[in-house]
Amino acid sequence: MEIKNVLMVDDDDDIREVGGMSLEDVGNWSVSLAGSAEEALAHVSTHTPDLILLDVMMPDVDGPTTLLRLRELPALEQVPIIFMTARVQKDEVDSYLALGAAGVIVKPFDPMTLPNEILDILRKQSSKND
Amino acid sequence: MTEQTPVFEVDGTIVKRLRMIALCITGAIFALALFQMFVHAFSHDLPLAAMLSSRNLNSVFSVVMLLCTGALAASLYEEKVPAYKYLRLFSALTAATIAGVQLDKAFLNLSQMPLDSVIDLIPEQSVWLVRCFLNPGDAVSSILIALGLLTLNVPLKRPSVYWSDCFCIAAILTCLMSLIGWVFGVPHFCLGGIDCQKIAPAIPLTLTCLGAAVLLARPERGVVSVMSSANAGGVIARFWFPAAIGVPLLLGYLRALGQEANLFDRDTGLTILVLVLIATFYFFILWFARRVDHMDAARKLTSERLAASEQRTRHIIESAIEAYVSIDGSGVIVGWNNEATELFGWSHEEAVGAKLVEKLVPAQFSNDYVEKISAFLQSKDSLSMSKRMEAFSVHKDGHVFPIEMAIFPVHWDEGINYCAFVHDISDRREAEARVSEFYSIVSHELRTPLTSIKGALGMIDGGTCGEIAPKASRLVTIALQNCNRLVRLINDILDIRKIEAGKMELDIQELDVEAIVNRVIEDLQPLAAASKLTLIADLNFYGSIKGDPDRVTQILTNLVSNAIKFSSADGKVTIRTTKGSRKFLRFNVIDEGPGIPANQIHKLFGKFSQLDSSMTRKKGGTGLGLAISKALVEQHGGVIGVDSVHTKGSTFWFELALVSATSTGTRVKAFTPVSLNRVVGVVADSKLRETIAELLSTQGVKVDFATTIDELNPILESLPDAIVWDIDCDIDLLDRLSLQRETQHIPVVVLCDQKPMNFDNQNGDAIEDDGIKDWLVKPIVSDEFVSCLRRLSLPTGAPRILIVDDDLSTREILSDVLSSGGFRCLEAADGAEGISIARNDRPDLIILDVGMPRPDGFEVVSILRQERAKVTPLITYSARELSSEDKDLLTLGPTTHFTKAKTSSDEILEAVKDLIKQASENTEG
Repeated sequence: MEIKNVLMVDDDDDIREVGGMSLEDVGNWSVSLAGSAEEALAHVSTHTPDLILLDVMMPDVDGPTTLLRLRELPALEQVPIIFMTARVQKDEVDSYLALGAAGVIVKPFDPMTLPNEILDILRKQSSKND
Repeated sequence: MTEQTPVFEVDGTIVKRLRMIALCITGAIFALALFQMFVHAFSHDLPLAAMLSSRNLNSVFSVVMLLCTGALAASLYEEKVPAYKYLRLFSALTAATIAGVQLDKAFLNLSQMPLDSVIDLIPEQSVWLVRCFLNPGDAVSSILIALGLLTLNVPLKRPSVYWSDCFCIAAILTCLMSLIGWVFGVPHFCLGGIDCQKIAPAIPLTLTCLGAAVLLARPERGVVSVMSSANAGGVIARFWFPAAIGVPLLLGYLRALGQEANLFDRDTGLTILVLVLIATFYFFILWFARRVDHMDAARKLTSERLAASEQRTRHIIESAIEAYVSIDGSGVIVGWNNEATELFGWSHEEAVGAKLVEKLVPAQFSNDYVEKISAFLQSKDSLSMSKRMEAFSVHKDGHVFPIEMAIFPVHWDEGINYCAFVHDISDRREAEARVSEFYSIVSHELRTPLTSIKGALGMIDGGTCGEIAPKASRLVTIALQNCNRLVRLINDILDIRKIEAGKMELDIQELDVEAIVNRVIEDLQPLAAASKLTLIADLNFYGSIKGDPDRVTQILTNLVSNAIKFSSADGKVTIRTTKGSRKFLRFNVIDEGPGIPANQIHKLFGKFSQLDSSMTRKKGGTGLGLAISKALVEQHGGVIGVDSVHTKGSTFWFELALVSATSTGTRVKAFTPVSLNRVVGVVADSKLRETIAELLSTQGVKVDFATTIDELNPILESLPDAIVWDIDCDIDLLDRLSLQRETQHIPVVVLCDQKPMNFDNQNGDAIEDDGIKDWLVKPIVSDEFVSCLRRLSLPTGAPRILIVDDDLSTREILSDVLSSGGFRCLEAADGAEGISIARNDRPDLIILDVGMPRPDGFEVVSILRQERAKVTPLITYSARELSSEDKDLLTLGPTTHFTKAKTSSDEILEAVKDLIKQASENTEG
C-alpha cells in the first residue's frame, strides 16, 4: 500500500511540527496535523488519509478512544493507525494492538528514521495479514 | 473442653536405656550359662556333644538359660527382623519343655513313666534328656519365664496388661520365695517343700534377673510402662523396682554370712536385719523425698514462669499495634486481640470460635483464600518459618481492604495453630499507586519536550535544513548526544523503578545464543567503530537459553557498551560464551580497559555507581546500566559478576539457564572497525547513495557525496581517506585525482556491473598505479563492502599472511582475527593454490593446514623449500600431535607448530606477530 497523505494527531504543538517536518522532508509525504481528537475527526470528515499517527496521552479524548471513534467511520475502517507514546509497557502495547492499531512508535522518535519505522510497521502488518 | 485422661509420657530415650539393660542382662546370663557348660564339660572331660546330654543339674539349667536368653535376644530385635519371632517361639517352647520334663520327673510325675528306666536304655554319652533334677521352684520359674517369652506380645483382656507380665511376675515371686527363704534361713519355704538352706541361690537369682529382663524387653507397655515415663512416677519406679528386691536380699545375705561366721545367732541376726532394713529404707525415703521435692519445686517454678510468660505474651498480643489473629488447623479463630477488633470491627466474643473464612475473607476471594491457606498449610514454610503474605480482607461493615500478614505456626500437643500479625496496607498501596502514577507522568512530561528537542536537532543534524556552519553542526551534535543521554537516563530510571516495584514482566522464551550475540554486535558495531575497537564474537559454547529476548539483549548490550566505553582505541572487546555452573551458559564480556581496583568492585552494581563520577559525563553513561543488568539477570534466576585485574582489563559475566547445548565447538568472528574517517561517494543513484551512507554509518565513517567534478573539488581539498566511485557516474575521476600530488594516492573503490577480467581482489595492488584498489559488483553486498573498506584502511605496508586451508570457515575465522591484528590476508583453498600465491605474491608469513587433500602440508613445504619461500616464516597446524621428525619436514623460515584442538585463534595471532617480528629482526640483522 502506498502512503501519500498522513494525518498526525498530537496535542503537543512542537512534536506536531517536528513530526510533520520529518514526515514531509524525510518521508516525502503530504502531512495534515491535528491537535486533538475533535480536530482529527473534523479533518477525516473531508479527507481520507492513507495513514494516521495518533498520540496516546491527549487531554479530553485520549488516543485509544480517538481510534475507536475513527474506526466507526466507514472510510477509515482499513486505514492503518499507528500510536505514538512514551509509555512502552508490554501490556499497554498489547492492548493498543488489540484495539486494532498497526503498531506503536516510541517517543522520543528519531525524525530521520521515523518514516522508515512507519514503513517497517506497515510491512510487518501486511505480511501478517497475508 | 473435654477432660484429658492422663497418660504415661513414655520417653523414647528411657525406653532405649531400659531395653539396653534387658539386653545386657541377657548377654550376661548367656555368657555365664555358656561358661558354665564349658567348665562342666571340661571338668568332666566330656566331649562337646555329651555336654547337653549330661545328667548334671548345672548343665540342664545352663541349657534352659541359653534357650531363654536366645529367645529374649530375638524378641529385642523382632521389630527389625520379624522372622526372629519364630526363633523366640522355638527357643521358649524348647526351654519350657526341658524345664517341664524336669518338673514332671521331680515333682509331678504326670507322665507316669519311670524316666530313669527309659533314659537308662540309651547309652549315657549320647542321651539328650537328663535324669537329674532341677529344684521344683526353679523348674516352675523356668517354665513361667519360658511361657512369658512365648506370650510376649499377647495382651490380656485389659490392653494395658500382657500375659507375659503375669508369667514373669509369677516367676520372680517364685524365685523370691526360694531366695528369701535362703537368706532369712527359713526351712521348707521353697516350692515343693525343699529346704531353702540347701538350694543353689545363684539359680533363683539368675531367674529373677531373667524375669526382670523379659519385663524390660517391652518397657513401653504393660505393667512396667510407668518405668518408661520421664515424670516423677517413672523416676520412682525405676529406683524402687530394683531397690525393693535388691536391698532385702543383700541385707539377708549379709545376715546369713554373719550367722555363718557365728557373729550372732539366728534371732539376733533377724532383729538386726529388720532394724537395718528400716534404717536403709528410711534413709532411701528421705533421700528420695528430697529429690522428688526438688523436682516438684523445679516443676512448679517452670509452671509459674510459663504462666508469667503466657501472661506476658498475652499482654504483648493485647497491646500490639498490629492485629493478632490465630486459627487452629480447621480454620477456626482461637486468638484475637484489641487491635484485631479495631481493624476488622468484630469483638473478641464475635470472632473467637468463628470460622476465619466466614468473618474476615471477602466473598469474592473466599474460594481463592481457602486454596491459598490450604496451600500454605501444606507447604513446608507453614511448618518451619514465618512467612509474609499479602491478601485482601473484609471489615465487619463490608468494606474490603488490602492486608499484609506475618504468619507463623505454633505447635501444640493437639496439632498446629497458625498465628498471624496483620496490618492494613491500604495507605501503602495508595502511596505505591501514586508513585507509579508520578513516574508515569514524569516519564510522559519529560519525554514530550524531549521528543520535540530530539526531533528538531535530528532534523538539523540529518541535513534536512541544508548545510550549516561546521561550528553550528558541532553544537547540534553535542546537543543531540546529550538529548540521547537524557532519554537513556529516563529509560534507565523507569527500568529500575519497574524492577524495584516488581513490575518488570519478563517474556521468557527459548533464545538462540548466537542470534543474541550477533544482534548486540550489530547494534554496537557503530559505537565500537567510532572508538576504533574490534568486536570479537567467540562462541565457545552455544545453544539455547531461557530468557526475555529484549531484556537479555539489554543486559549484554549494557555490558558490551560499557566495555567499549572503557577500552582505549585500537583495542578489542570480546563476547565469549562458555559453559557456566551447573546447567547455565555464561556470557563473558572481556575488555582491555583500565580494570577495576579490588576495593571498588563491590560498588559496581549499585545505582549511579560509575567509579569515577566524571566518567559518567565523559562516557555518556547513566550509571544505572550495571544495576539494571544485575536486577534483570537476577529476575531471570541467573547470576552476574566481574573478574578484573586493575590496569589489565575486566571480564564482566552473567549466567542464564541453558535449555540445550547444541555444540561446544568454537566459532570466532571478529568485527574489525573500518579505520577510515571520511569517504567520498561519487555516486549519482539515490538508492545506492542511501545504502552506502547506511553501511558507512554503521562503521562510524562519514560520507560526502558528489556527482560532478565541481562538487568533488571542494571535498577533495579536505583529503578524504577513500573514494567510492560508481562507474555509472560519468566523470573523469582518475584524471582529476592525478592532477594533484596529494590526491594521487587516495584509494578508489569502483562499483561496477562486471569486474574487469584482469583484476583479482586479493592482489589489488597489482594495478595500484591508477589508484583503483578494488572493484565491487553491484548491487553491493554489505559484508563485501565492509571488508573492502577494511582492506583499504590497513596501512599499505601491512604484512601479508597467506592462509592455506581447505576449510572455508577456518579461513574466515583466521582472516577475521588477523585482519583485526592489522594484517592483510591472502587465502588459498588448497595446497596447489597456496603454492601459486606463495610464488607470485611472496607473503610475509604462511599459515598452513597440514592435513589437506593432496598436495598436503608436507608436499607444499617440500616444494616451497626449493624456492624463494624457503625462508618465509611458517605456522602449521594439524589435527594430531606432530613428531619431531614431522616438525623437521614442516619447517621453512622461523616456524611454529600448533595442534588444532589445543590452539585458540588468539594464540595464532600472537604467534604471527612474534614470527613477523623475528623475521624482520633477522632481515635487519
